[in-house]
Amino acid sequence: MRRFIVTRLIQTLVVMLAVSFGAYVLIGLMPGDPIDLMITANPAISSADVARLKALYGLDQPLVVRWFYWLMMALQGDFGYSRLFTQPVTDLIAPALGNSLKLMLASWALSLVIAIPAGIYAALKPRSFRDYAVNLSAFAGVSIPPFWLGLLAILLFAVTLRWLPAGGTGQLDNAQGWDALRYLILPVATLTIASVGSHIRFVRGSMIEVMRQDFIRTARAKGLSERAVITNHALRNGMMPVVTLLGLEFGTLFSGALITETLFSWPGMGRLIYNAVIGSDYNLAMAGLMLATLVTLIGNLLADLGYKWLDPRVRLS
Amino acid sequence: MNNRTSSGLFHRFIRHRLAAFSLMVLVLLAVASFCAPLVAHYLGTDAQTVDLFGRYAPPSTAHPMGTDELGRDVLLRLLYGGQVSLMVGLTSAVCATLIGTIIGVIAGLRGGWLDGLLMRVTDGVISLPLLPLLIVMAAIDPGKLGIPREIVNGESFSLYRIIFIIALFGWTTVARLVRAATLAVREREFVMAARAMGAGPVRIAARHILPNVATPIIIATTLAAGNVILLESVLSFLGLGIQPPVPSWGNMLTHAQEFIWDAPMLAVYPGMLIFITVIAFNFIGDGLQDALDPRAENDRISITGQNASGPAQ
Repeated sequence: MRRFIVTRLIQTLVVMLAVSFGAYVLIGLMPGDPIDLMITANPAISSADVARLKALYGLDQPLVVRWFYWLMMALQGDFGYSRLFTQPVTDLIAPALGNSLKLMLASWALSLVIAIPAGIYAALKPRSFRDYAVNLSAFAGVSIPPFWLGLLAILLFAVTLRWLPAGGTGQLDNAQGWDALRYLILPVATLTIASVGSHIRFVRGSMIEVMRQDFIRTARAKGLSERAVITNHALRNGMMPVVTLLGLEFGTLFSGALITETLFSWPGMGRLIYNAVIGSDYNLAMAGLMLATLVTLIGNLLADLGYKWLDPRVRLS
Repeated sequence: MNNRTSSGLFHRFIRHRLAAFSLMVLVLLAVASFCAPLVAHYLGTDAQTVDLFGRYAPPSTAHPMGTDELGRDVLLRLLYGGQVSLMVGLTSAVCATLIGTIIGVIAGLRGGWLDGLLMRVTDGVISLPLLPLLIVMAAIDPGKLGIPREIVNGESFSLYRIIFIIALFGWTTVARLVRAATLAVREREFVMAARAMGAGPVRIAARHILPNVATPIIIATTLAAGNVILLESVLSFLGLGIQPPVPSWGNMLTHAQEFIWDAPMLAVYPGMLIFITVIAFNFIGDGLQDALDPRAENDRISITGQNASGPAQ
């Protein structure tokens, strides 16, 4: 177990390093560079000044050197200064991450609360009408463009019915309790519908797989009631792959959150990354991307550990 | 028992009907999209003509579905957008499949450290937060890569770019599938016979492995096409995919939030078409799976569990 954790940690580190280098190269390829932006801001700047500024910021150094320098600073917790928000990047990211996690965890939990019973319900009678109905809804959930779903939700609940706010968090109005919660409903619902379809399909597939196993037949043969067969034998085994899914889906959840946050002006990580990329805010984009990757990778790692803990048969090497 | 069989039949019937119906819908959509120039000729306008005095016009004979925020004909933009979305979706899916197949075959055939490396890379790519990375990739300035300006600023450049970006990240599922299938075929007698006769790895892959892994590849490509269209629409919606004035279903929704009060239907049509197209691809993929590869249900977590007869009941 310890060996497994160490190996996985090293793997995670390698992926983080690779992504940080890749992202650094990509972000360096975004339009303009910091000095170009300064030149635009101040046309009187001379070419000697430009060269001096480039040397000052280390922009005359090779890419690998610059990346290494960024990495050293980042490891000390210094991600630089945001050009757009004129604040240290770390000050921006902490509240954004909190907001994103609020959104993601709420819809993640809601999605599971819907998907697990629905998936099991469908799997217990494969090819029946109810299975067909659950499947069709799952297909619809997987296929619907999440931003369009959000737009429709705004159209219906904010524009037409005026029940719920069209976006924001309500923090500016100092909303408390239910008033603050109302701002969460549409983004969470959108994000949930966007992820629940694949969850249902996965739970259902996993349960059907288990119900076909020999030990289920044995349990039935020894005269257990169907309820006992399902709760004591099928569920435990059927839910194990679901644990893996939960971790893997964290990356998808982040992608979904980016859309939902942008659409509903929810001040989370996804929206921050999007604004940073659109506004050529290199430091912020870099830090946001790294944090998104880190959260996703930690999710995967926890899922693997959970899987191992639930199912000792799994050999993790 | 009787009940079971009849409900199974019911399911089969519905599902295959659904796949066939989906195919019909897609063909209709494609034909309509590629008839856009005819429609434009008939209407006497085109998808780019701006009419600022006729913004948000209701449906009329001149504009069967009204006009958008710049007074452009909505029907024509939907049709041309359909061309773009379908073309980008299919091309990216095929490119991603191609990359995935090559990587999967190499990993499966060569084995050893190369297999280990390729599969670790695959795991790594799968575990990344896709959309944030795609956004950064879509925002880079290709001019800095040495691509000439006149190409970068060309109208259709954003099309090739989005196809490239999606293919770059979309190959992982296919690579895993093909590798698994290659491993299963690799030690079979006919491959060994070919090897004994002195066939090189390329010949073995082309003549003996690929025909045997074609079925899962076709299914994966169909399912991928739906996903890719969804992804393209998200990127275009965010303003980082297909660039205006080229219409795509995604970028027609970019400003939908601003005019949702004035013209709510403009926010409904393009999304509806994306939804229909994506769900159609998914139904077809699912139907194909049933028709071509019923065995796969046993060793793979299935979407529909067609073969779930087993020991149940």
